[in-house]
Amino acid sequence: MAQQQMATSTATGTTLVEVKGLKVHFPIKGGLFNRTIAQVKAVDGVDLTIRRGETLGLVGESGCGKSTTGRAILQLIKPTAGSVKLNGVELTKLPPAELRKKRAEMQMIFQDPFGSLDPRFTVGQIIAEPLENFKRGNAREIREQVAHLLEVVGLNPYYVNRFPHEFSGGQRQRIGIARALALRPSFIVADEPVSALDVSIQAQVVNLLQDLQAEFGLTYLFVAHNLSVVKHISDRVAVMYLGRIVELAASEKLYELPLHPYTQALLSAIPVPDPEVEARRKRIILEGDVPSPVNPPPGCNFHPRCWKAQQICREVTPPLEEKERDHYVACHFPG
Amino acid sequence: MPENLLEVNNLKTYFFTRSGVVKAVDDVSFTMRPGEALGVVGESGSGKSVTALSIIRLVASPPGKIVGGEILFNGENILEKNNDEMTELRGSKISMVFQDPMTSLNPVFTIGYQIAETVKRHRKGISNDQAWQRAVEMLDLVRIPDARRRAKSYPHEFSGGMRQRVMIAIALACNPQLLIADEPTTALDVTIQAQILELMKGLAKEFGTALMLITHDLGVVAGTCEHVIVMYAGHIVESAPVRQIFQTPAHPYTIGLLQSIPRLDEKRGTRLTPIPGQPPDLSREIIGCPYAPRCPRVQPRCRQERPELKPVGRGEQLAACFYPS
Repeated sequence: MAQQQMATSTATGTTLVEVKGLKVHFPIKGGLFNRTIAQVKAVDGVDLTIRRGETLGLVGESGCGKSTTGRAILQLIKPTAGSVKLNGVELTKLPPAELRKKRAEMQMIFQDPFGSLDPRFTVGQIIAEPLENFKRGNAREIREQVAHLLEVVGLNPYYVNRFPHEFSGGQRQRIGIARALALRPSFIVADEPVSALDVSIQAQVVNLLQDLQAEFGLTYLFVAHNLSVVKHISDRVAVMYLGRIVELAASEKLYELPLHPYTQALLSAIPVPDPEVEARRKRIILEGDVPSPVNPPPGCNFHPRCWKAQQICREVTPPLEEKERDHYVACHFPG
Repeated sequence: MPENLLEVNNLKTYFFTRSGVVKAVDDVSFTMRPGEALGVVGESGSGKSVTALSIIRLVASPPGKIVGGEILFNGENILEKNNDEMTELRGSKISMVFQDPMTSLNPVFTIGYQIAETVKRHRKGISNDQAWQRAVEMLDLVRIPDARRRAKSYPHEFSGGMRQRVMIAIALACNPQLLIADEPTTALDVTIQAQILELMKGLAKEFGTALMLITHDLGVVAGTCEHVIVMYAGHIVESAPVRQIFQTPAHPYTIGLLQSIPRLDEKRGTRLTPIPGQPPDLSREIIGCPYAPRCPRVQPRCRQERPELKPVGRGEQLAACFYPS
């Protein structure tokens, strides 16, 4: 679909993750013999490149497939089709033992700081677990590494023997980050890492993620629905709608000059904490809801809600193309 | 008729739990004029929802109890009303929209039935047909397409955004004087949030309904409300017209909140300034200003005395701080 995209991306920086034609379809079973009667096309043909050391933001509304994309890249969900390369190694075809080794290089930070930590483990055990699994040193060395990791994420190493319930949401998210960092990964998928936190705590975690990136040279795929946060942390942003990427550009560019009507509507819908700005802004109010991914509309997914839709939009799926330098959009009538 | 539609004076709502008394709302006072759009902002546990539930007298009891203060609605103290009088008031004069549109509707009744039920409850002598007509009219008003047909649908046939529209239709069906909306758009996507906020703002204006919008999102407040109160640890720390809250915030907590949120229109490379630490545990006695442990401008006095909500010398702007900006 977007062959040009690959070429330009690699030219401007070395590619760490390369995703081509990624599809994740979930079967819906039913009927007399429990046959597959339909498919939820959660991710339906995603192409992405993530450059070494950058933060790529992935935004979209609930059900657009952004989390599934993140998980499919890490092979936590088996993709239905497509290729995912990390450092040039094709992950989708790796045998389980090989894939397991690769997992040290790619980690995940989860949304829910309450559900993602085992309540029966101490903080020390939680962070030590990946180190033990991958045999990174003897007991004493692992203890030292855990203490160091706690310090790195801004927690007192003294807390090592406490249980998750003794911590607040923000602190738990720090524990989850320490665990993700334990094996020194190069690539981290952060799935809504600050969505469950209060605003005053969100900023602490966002700053921490940025500091860690600078310190360890991390590459992030930052998945979130909050476009203000995504814009703040990301170098480039990809906008997803109903399983496909509709626009991809540098974050300031996307904000200043969105080309896809969906991006324009999404941006205009986000409230800005400034009454002067709010009074001046023109809001594009979209009609209706996101259609079901079981039976996505033909042609461009967005056409039933789009004010620019023409006949061609109902019939032909627009490919993701480079309309301006490093600015990709999948629309027949961009701008 | 009194000048204020709602007057809350020294409201105290405590929860008596096994681990101690949680002072969820502690000495809160504010007023609302008829037709005013008031924003109540705060983080989880700041007492904003409990304040709203106290006004509509739906605080779960036990463990919760309104232990002090008064709530004057049209000059009458709501806290002195008995249950029957409250039932009469709820839904007709004061109504509420909750955060979760998934669980607020009864799954076994049609949408139309649930709206008509509210209408019949509060309008004596209205026929079933008229109530149903009103339900269809309300659905049309909240822009549910094909309202006549959709009134016969069940809640599960509606999406989250549509259910929240239905909740608004129910809330406004009897032309209340006050609509309390507790995080009405938090569970919804941004494009749907924009639809719902626009709708509530428009309808409140059309009917002259006062709107109390509870939210943690300062952006939502900026575009919707005329006046804002900021809550922290069960207290109001600042109260001001919306422009002043954003342009000349007086309380260090308000300033901290504004600096800690990324803005869509910020410059590239701006770093967020987080508020250090965490909100206090409300089941412990708080001496002095509740924000003192996190405040960058803290002085010895702040740790000993609690500051009162006082004018800061800029018109209607009030702040509970000894050293306001």
